[in-house]
Amino acid sequence: MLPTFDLGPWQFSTYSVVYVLALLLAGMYAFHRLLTGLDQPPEVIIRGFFLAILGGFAGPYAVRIIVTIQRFFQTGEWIWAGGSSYIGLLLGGVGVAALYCWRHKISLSRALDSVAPALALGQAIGRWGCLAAGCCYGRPTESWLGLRLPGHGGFWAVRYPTQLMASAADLLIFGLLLLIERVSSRRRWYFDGLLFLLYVAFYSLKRFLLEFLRGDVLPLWGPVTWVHLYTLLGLLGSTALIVWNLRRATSADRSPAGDAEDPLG
Amino acid sequence: MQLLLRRAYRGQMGAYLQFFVLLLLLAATILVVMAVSGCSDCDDYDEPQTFSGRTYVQTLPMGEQFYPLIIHSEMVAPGGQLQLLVEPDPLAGKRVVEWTPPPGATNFDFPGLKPTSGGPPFVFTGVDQNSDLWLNYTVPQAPVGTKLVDTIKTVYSDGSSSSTASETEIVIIAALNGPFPGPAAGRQPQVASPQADVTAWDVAVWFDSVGVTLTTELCQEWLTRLQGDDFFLAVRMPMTTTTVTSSYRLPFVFGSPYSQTLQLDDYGDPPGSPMLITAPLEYRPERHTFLANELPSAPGEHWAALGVSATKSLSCPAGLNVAPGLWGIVANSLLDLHDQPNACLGCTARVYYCYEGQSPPWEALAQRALARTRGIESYQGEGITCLGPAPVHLESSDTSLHMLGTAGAFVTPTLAISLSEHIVGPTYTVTVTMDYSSSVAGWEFYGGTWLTPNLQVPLTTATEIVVPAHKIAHIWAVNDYVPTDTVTGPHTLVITVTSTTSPSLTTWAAIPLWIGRWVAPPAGGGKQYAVYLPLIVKSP
Repeated sequence: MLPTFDLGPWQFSTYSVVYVLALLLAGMYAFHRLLTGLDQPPEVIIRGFFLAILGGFAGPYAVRIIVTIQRFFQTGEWIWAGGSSYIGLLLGGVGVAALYCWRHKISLSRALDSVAPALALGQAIGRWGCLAAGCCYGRPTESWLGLRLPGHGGFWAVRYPTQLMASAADLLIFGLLLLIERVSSRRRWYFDGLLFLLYVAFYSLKRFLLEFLRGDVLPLWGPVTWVHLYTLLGLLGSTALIVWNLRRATSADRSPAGDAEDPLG
Repeated sequence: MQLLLRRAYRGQMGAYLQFFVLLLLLAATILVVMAVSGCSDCDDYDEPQTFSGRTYVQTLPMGEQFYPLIIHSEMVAPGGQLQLLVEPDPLAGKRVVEWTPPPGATNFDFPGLKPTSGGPPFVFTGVDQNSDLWLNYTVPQAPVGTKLVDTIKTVYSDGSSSSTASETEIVIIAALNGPFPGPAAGRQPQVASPQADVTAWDVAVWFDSVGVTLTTELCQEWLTRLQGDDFFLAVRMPMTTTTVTSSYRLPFVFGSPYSQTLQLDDYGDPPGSPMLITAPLEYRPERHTFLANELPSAPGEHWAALGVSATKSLSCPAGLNVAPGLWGIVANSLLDLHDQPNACLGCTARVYYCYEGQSPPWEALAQRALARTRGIESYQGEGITCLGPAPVHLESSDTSLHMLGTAGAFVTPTLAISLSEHIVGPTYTVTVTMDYSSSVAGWEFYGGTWLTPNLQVPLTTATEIVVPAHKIAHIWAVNDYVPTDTVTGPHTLVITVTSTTSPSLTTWAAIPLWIGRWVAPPAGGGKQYAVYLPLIVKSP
């Protein structure tokens, strides 16, 4: 793999470069969608976007507390957990966005719908950084899917290419979200927040399944890990919200008054 | 141009441009932060974690306040003649030397400079680098193991200041191998002068706590144990000498601001905070013959012993309560090996932890303190148990491999055990293979993380392990069932890793194990005597 590369006298981490590349591309795409979808002045969107990014950076630190506690229960040792966490980033970003939208009376659901495809796109790009760095690697396998890849410990083996699988799944999610947006916006059952909830559901499902193939996880019980629990919670919660909102939307459609409430607040 | 830019910032396209510029700034900031913080992947395993044992080695330039310890070794029978030379000190001016011979010494004779007053103690004035100061006397008929203290007090006087050198010891201990040579009259010891500017090795070895809370009581118990005469560190390393009986210079540097210390560290304290306890280490010459005779030897290498000095009154902070994993013991040593080829770059010092006594040293502590760092053994005899070796590789961290991990283990047969070693690579990516040797059967090796082995990643001696630049690769040695027929006592698991492209790029780690119940060491027997005289050379 290519954990680092040289550019003149400088050495760069491939992971970091891909990380910021994903931010640039997905960020521009998200901004475009927010600008065209929210009907808000650009400065309001720019401010909110960067505040949400800050929240996104803070999120993983909050998640580390949970991971630290979780490790204590598994190992009996209090060791501060490090590393980045996409789930933490998402929670932190959405949390700050919710506050900002509430403050500026912007529909959070519509804002999240605008950024959902961009999140999937960013992840699809970012996973290539993981591949270069050799992190988030898969279990050794004899399956035809296997590629000879390093693990974090530097052990090369024929493994499930979980980084590439995740990237492909993210691209699929990206395409699905755009397709559903296109199709559903013409249907009466569309509701604000649908895209984001679908994104959470698809992401959780993807991560839940790929977790079984990951080789860098700390097992909780048999093949089940903590991430399985988190993602199961995300999948069930988002699915329940989708079903509830769909039922509300169809019943409102039948009622003469309709319903214009923001399903995510 | 300015107008064009201002216009470009207006309208919808202007918003995109503004956003893009801000996003670029954010991206650049993230890139810098990630580079500075060393975040280069999505995992968390590169962050500092606690280990059972770590070694840190770096070179330090030394200034003029550098005081090498000189040892002059001679062999003498009980009741035999001993001739000693007080080293001239090229950097010192005129000085006064006061010599106190050991109790029971007789037949004093001074072939060179005569004392200005009778004794003992004997006082020599006006000593300088040209002085020929020989001390001859007869060693008493002391039994084996008798420690005789020979004190040399030096007062420097350069008109503006004066200082006093440390006292030293002379000890009767068991004889070295080979025929007894008798008095070594006239043998000129090698002179090691204080070096104005040499590079010394700054070595730090950590022993981390595992699963033990450090309380004031436990800390005090450790202090008492370590400050006793029965605990010492044995170190074997190259020293300049031609034969085992000639003089050689110990590489340990004693003197401010550097010295040999054992420290108790609270990892939770901010960087730069003082250690909880700093105990100075002192030279223990009385152990040398035991070490030279009983522990493994190697050509060109010598043993030296260090123990925690009892002269400094130490006490543990009241109300101490440090969580497991957040404290450890650090052994610091400054080694001057400038007279070795390439300043001993590539040398390996072997450290043993020795304890004299019939009860296990960990009896009072084992169930509570340093549970994973105890119970290692390689030698028992003369009433002494020595645990080791813990290798300290003197290497440049930029260009070498090194390993850190479990410092030792106490194992009961039939139980499973997993031990970790973590390979730290140089500044470039290296592919290595591993090999191992052990007196315990049944080892299997796996990859994994800092915390746990990954049984999905079995390792064999043919497995290529890539250690990326600035990264760490993990090796876990797992023994599912320590065989019941394993001999009770000391064992060792040695793991070696070697670059596949450059065989000279290699390193090894030894994990000493104690299998089964404690066995008391055999008591010491009668041996011939040898006498060592360590001297201090001190600059003004």
